[in-house]
Amino acid sequence: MLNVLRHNDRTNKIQFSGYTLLRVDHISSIQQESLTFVDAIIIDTENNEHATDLVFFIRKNADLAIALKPIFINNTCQLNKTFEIHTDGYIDLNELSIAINRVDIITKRSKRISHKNTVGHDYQVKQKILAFLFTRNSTIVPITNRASLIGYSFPFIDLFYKEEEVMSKLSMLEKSVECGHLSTNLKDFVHLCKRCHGNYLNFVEACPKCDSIDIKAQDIVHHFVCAHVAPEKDFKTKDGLACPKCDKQLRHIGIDYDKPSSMYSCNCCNHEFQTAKMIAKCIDCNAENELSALIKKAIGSYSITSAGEEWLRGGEEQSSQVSLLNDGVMTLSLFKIIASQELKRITISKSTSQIAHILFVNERLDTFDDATKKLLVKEIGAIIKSYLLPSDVMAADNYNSYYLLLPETKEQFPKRLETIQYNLGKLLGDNLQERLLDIKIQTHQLIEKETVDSIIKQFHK
Amino acid sequence: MSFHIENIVPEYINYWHEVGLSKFIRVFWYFILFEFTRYIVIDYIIAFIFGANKKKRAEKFEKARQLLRLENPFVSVIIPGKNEGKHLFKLTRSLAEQTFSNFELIIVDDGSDDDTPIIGKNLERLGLIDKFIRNEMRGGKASAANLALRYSSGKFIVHLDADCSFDYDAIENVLVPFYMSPKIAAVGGNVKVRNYKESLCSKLQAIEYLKTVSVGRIITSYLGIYKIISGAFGAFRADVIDAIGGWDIGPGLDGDITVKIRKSGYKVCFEPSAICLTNAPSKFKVLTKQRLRWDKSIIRFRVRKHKDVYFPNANFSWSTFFALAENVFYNVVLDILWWFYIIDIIINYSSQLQFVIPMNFTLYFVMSYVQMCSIYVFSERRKEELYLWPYVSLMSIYTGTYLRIVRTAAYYKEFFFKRSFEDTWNPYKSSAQAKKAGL
Repeated sequence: MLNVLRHNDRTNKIQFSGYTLLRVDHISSIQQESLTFVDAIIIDTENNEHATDLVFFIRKNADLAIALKPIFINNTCQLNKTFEIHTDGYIDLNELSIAINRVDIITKRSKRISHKNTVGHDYQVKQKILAFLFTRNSTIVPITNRASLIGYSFPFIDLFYKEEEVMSKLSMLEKSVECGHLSTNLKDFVHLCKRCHGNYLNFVEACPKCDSIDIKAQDIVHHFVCAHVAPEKDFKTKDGLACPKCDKQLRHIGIDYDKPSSMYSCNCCNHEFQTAKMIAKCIDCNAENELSALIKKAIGSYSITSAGEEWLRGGEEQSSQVSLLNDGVMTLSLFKIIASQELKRITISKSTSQIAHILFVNERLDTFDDATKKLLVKEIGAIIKSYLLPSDVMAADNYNSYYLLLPETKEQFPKRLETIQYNLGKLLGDNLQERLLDIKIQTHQLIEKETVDSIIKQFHK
Repeated sequence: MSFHIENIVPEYINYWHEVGLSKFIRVFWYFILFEFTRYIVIDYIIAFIFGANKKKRAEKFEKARQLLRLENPFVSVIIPGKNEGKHLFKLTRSLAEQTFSNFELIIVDDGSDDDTPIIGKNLERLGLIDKFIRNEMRGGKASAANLALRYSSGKFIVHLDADCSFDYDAIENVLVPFYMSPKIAAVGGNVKVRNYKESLCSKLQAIEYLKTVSVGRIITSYLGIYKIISGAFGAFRADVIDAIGGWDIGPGLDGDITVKIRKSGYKVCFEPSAICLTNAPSKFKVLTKQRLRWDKSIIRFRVRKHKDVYFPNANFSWSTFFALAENVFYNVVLDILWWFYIIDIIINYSSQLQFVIPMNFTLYFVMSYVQMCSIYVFSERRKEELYLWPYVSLMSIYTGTYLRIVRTAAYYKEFFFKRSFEDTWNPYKSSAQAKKAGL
């Protein structure tokens, strides 16, 4: 059954049960191959760097079908454990049937995924993660990892984020859970440095005045009979404790004296205080964080939900980006239905209506971080809506693309669109130093026998 | 003898018209000898002298104020207390308004069992309190004050109660006397009742405070026999208070520390322009409890602990002797004498009580209003205090009867049973040790 086809020194193809497994030891091996016709990849090298390059090359492939290909490690090679988690495990070349069974499942499930043309890194990564979970029918479980900035590594997910992009990674996962595409099972909480988002923190007590950690705690002694209260050092003598106020010997705690509290004193600034300031010093970047400034994040295992599966299969066309918009903005599919109705209406009424398309050229908004994007999109939605007539309809395709249906509008470029263009330009100009030219508004007068899809296609030419 | 109501007034007037001065003095010897002399004659003499020296005194005060402003000393404001969290924010606001601002605010929470630690720590974090020190175990007010003292760094210590509020210049004014004489080691502030409209009980106390605190202390301070710096508002030289070991176990620790300062050779004085407002008990039950505690402390400290001031010794001082002697005489001795006086009247004038008792009340009634006039002379809040004038008529019952009975009970309990050591105001662990040590 085993049929090995040797192409050159570095690549091997194995045919087994109708599946083709590609055996590689270096990235140059697969660069020459068309991975579309390969069902699984076997890493056959002990060089961690080479293996990492291979995994990155496959998993980061823009083609989802290739990115989801099963990757196995030849069990004769021993690779770094932190690397193993991104693969589908080890494979015994003499016992391929188990692995082939897995390849079969992954391949079949991959075919059920609707490949979307997506925009934006987070969105693409989310799709890959959901697809990975769906094809593997498994859960991504975080693994403790000393080398990771946050102390945890996420199999597969970590491949798409640099170490310093931990917040984007966690935020993407949180959003996916929020919109119901992923479910999570809480494993831990991590507290991250406000500057570098590292989890390696050293918690120290410090002086609240000068932040020095050179502080010392002293018990306070209360001598009952004369009501003298002072730090223990004031009472200390060679023979034990004696009251500096009345010279009496303090013999019995609870009878002669007690210790009602303790005080710190700072060896740097001499400040005396009772509540020491807690500082979390970051081992990685040396930042001193106040506890309240630490970023608390949940670490959990992630599984795909039925809503997530539905989304992958293309059941939910509108992107989650659109949900960020304000009320009153419809999805593109609904917009198409309404615009089609309008087309029928103008045919009968012989009136004039327009469809407009507002585009942020070069997908400018996708270049910003999520928080800025969220705020901007809300403002954009609010600006556009504020200048529309009550009969106008607005839809959003994604962050950068908006459609307007302007019924009973004869002008080629109505005044309200000019105002919208001016205000959107001003918004970008004021906040982001973006130029007005980056916003493109096109209009199209509805004509009988046209379809909405064709109009939209024209906008994108 | 038949009783006719229409004859009461003519008979009463006729009786006192015919009785003659010598018999009048015989019947009202207690009033004439002690009350009238002390509270009317001396008060008005001092008021006259005070008025005559007003300009000179104002100049001296202003000069001292300039010296204070020039030096601008660092001051520690300390507030020991238990379960006072609810007052702390208002207090910090009141202190933020002060004309004198070079001070640190130290609050000692003496084992509070409410939200005080949370409030205090929050205010400390916000920078409204400089030091908030929490004692997990309650040690009593003296120990809390001593703890604050230990961690203070000011040249002067201003001791306050948390439920007080202050005139905007109160802290500055209470510090000025230190720059009048280097011998002055402690200055008492002028404590007035804030909630005087709340109940009859608080109204009567407001009048009493005006008489005994505002005016009474001006008189005793002028005479050099001022003997109690109120715990609600008083200022101390830090070096002196350190040297005498701070506060001793109470109750009555404010009076005790004043005597300790006097005994160490320093002067204490009262500053009427340093005004502090406090809440007085609004119920007679609470007031009775408070006064029993205060009155017991007179026996415990003035009669027992500091009895040495009455005897010649190396540290003997006439002013300290008179300060305590006046206090003990007018409170303890006259209280006992009053009961003798009552017995005297009952035995010798039993058939004329229908004339004697109304006249007695008339005398005290008139004296109360005459005394109120002297308060009017000294006061800086005359308009507000006019509200209290109708209630002055009840003062003879309040001070002459109610407070006297409470006082007698307190003296009896303390003198024979040392009940102050059982007062829950102090934790048992401290009281037991103090009693054992004879303090």
